[in-house]
Amino acid sequence: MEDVMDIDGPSYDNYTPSWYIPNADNDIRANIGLYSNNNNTTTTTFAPSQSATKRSYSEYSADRDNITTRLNPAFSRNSVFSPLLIFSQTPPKRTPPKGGRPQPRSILKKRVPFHTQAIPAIEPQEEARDPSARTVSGMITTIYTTATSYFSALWGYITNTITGGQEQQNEDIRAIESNSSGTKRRAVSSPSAAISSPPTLTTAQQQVTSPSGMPGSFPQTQTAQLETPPSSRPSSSGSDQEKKHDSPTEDDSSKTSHPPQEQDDAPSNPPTHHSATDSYGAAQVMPQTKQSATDGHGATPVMSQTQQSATDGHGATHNYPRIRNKYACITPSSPLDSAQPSEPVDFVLGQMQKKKSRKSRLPPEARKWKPRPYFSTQKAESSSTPAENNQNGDPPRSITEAAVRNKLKDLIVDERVKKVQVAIDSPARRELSSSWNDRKKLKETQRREKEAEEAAQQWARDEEEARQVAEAEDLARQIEDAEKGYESEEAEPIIPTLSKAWQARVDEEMSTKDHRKRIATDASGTDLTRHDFGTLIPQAGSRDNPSGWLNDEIVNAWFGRIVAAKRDPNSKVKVTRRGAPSSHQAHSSMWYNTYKNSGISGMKGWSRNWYQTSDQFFATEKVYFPINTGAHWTLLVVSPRTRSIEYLDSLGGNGGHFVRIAREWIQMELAKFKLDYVEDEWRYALEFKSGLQCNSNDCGAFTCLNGMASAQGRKGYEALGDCEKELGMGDGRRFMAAVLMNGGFQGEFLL
Amino acid sequence: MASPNSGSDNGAADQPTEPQQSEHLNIKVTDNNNEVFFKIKRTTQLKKLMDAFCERQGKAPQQCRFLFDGQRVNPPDTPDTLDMADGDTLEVHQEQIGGAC
Repeated sequence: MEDVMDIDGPSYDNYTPSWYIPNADNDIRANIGLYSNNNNTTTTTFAPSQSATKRSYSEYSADRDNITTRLNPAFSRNSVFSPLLIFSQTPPKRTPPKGGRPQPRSILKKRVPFHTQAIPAIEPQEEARDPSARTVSGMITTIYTTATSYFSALWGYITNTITGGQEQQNEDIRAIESNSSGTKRRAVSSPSAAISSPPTLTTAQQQVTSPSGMPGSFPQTQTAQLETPPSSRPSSSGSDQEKKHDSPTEDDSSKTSHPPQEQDDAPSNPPTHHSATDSYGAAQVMPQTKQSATDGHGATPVMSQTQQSATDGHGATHNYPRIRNKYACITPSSPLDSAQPSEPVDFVLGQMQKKKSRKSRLPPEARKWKPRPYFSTQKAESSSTPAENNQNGDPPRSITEAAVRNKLKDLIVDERVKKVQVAIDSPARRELSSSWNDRKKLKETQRREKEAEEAAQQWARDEEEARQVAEAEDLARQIEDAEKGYESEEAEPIIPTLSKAWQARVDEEMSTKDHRKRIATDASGTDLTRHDFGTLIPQAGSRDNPSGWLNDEIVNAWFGRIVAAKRDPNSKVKVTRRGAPSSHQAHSSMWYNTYKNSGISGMKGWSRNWYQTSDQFFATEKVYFPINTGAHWTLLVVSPRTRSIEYLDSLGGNGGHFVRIAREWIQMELAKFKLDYVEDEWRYALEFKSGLQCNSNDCGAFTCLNGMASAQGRKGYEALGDCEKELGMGDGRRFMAAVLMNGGFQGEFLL
Repeated sequence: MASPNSGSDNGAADQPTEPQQSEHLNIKVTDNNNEVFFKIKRTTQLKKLMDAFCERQGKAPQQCRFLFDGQRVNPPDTPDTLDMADGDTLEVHQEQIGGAC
């Protein structure tokens, strides 16, 4: 029997379905329908859905449709189970506002199709043992009025088939509905279903329950129910689970699994063990719909189902439109009941006693029909024990139970949480916890400090390592640069600014009209005449070629001065006219003509006095090869020390031809020391690039100043190409003139 | 011919160190197009040779660059100062100018 669903036992009046919130989740709970099978074996009654919901009618209809679609037609097929409880997943929206009566609805029309098609015959219902007692005094009248002839006829039929007691059930139901309608909360009285269905059917439910209400198992459960006799109720395991759930500590577990809900139900409805099955069926159905979502607790879905079923039952009887699409066969048996097949009632009672709180609450309250304050606010812990209720003949209690159960779990959980909190908050506990916490905190802080220190130390170490690495790299770089003869002097301008004295001297020298006048000499003593300087600083009004193309005298003199400046002044080596060992050597710009005339062999003796040994050769940092191709000056630089070749062309040429010549020259020089030339050892240092001239005159100046920059160890010569500020390479030319007039890089001009 | 040989002031000084060397050196002067051989005393300034060559080639001495083993030869230089040997070659180059086309 089942009283599964009692929704609002105690508090019809105040009841506000706090638990029944218009969520999608709530839908699950919503509807439970009662139906009579063709067999007429049994029928379950259903409390009206918790109409209290605030949903609009449109929602209701939509839900109904959804439900219908979801229902498994297979269940409907099972004629065996006369009563089928159908859960509508969607909450019922029986919209009737508070105080308003349940509106008679055109349920009949809708119901019929549901019946035939969609009703899953989840659970046979045998429970109905004592539907007897349930009657709600005041409520019945209203419902009766509303109930149409159809309902009465159907109901009468059902009752006849099942048991005589059904009428009472009907009355109960009616009363419940009336109450519910009035209050918006409707208790579901399932007794009728219990009546019709033999206990045997419950077993199936039990089986279902024992698996702990597997959501997917729904169809199986039906079959099981059908087949298994009630006596066989195997599920001691189910009972265990239920017990666990009953125990306050275990409430949480109940949330996840549906069985706990059923457990609650079970105690309430000892005679109708199958009420649990109902809940299962609901649960089973539910998973499809949305059980978990709404409550976490399995109970909630059951509630909704029960409520709906109740409504449906009413609707069926009374033709209320309240029924929702989804219908689950409500089998009153509870998992608990299933646990103790033989005497479910006793078992349930025992459990009920265990749950003192529930028991105590339910009977008085339910009887009184007073609204409980906590109901309104919280989910009702409907501890209502159906068994007692049934025995007592208080249907409302049982009804309330079902509804309350769902709430109960929540409440229980809440209570437990509160208890735990209280326990935690207790002073002694607090002290203990505080001391413990203090210790913990202390340890924590100490640990953090340690970590922080370690982190800091680690960081310091890393930093130190990084610094050392950086220093090492920097040192290595400096060493390398030193080896290459480079010094980072880019900061200084390549072309220094001439003093006024030198500006005056240059102007004075250049003012002479005698082009054969010797103005300076190069390092080898060759005269540099006014004509030569005229190529460097062409003077207007003179015979100077205004183009300012440098001639070989200036270029060779310039590189001769560089070589002389790089010569070690302290060296004891005699400097001959053919040169002497030095870090820098410079070929005459005529070398390319010689090469063209006689090949590289024509230069075989040109470096005779520059180095006598391979060591001296590789100690040489720069060997300059000023190149004049007939109208253009470029500079080829071979660096034996770094084994690299540079080609500096202010017009951006890549100098492949000259680099090849340089390689020939290197090979020839190495041959003098009987060394093999390995081409890969000699790198064409493309990173050294000349600045680009912005006119067609300055290539000579670029060539000379590139050579100076190279001799200075500069890494980049780009600065020479500053087109914006240059009047050509005016400043550079005057600087060159000053240096040559000065007799080289000495005194004021140091390389 | 005779006068330079006998009349060279340096002859006495050179003799002890270079007894085997002949007083005269045969020097080839070439400008890539023309080769002119000169026989010159070791102590004679090369200015004579250079002037003779330029005059013979019809060039101004200021525009001719005489190189010996890549080193510029100045008029005051002599075969001794340049450490020249018999058969060495003097290259004659013209003035080079350039500015980039």
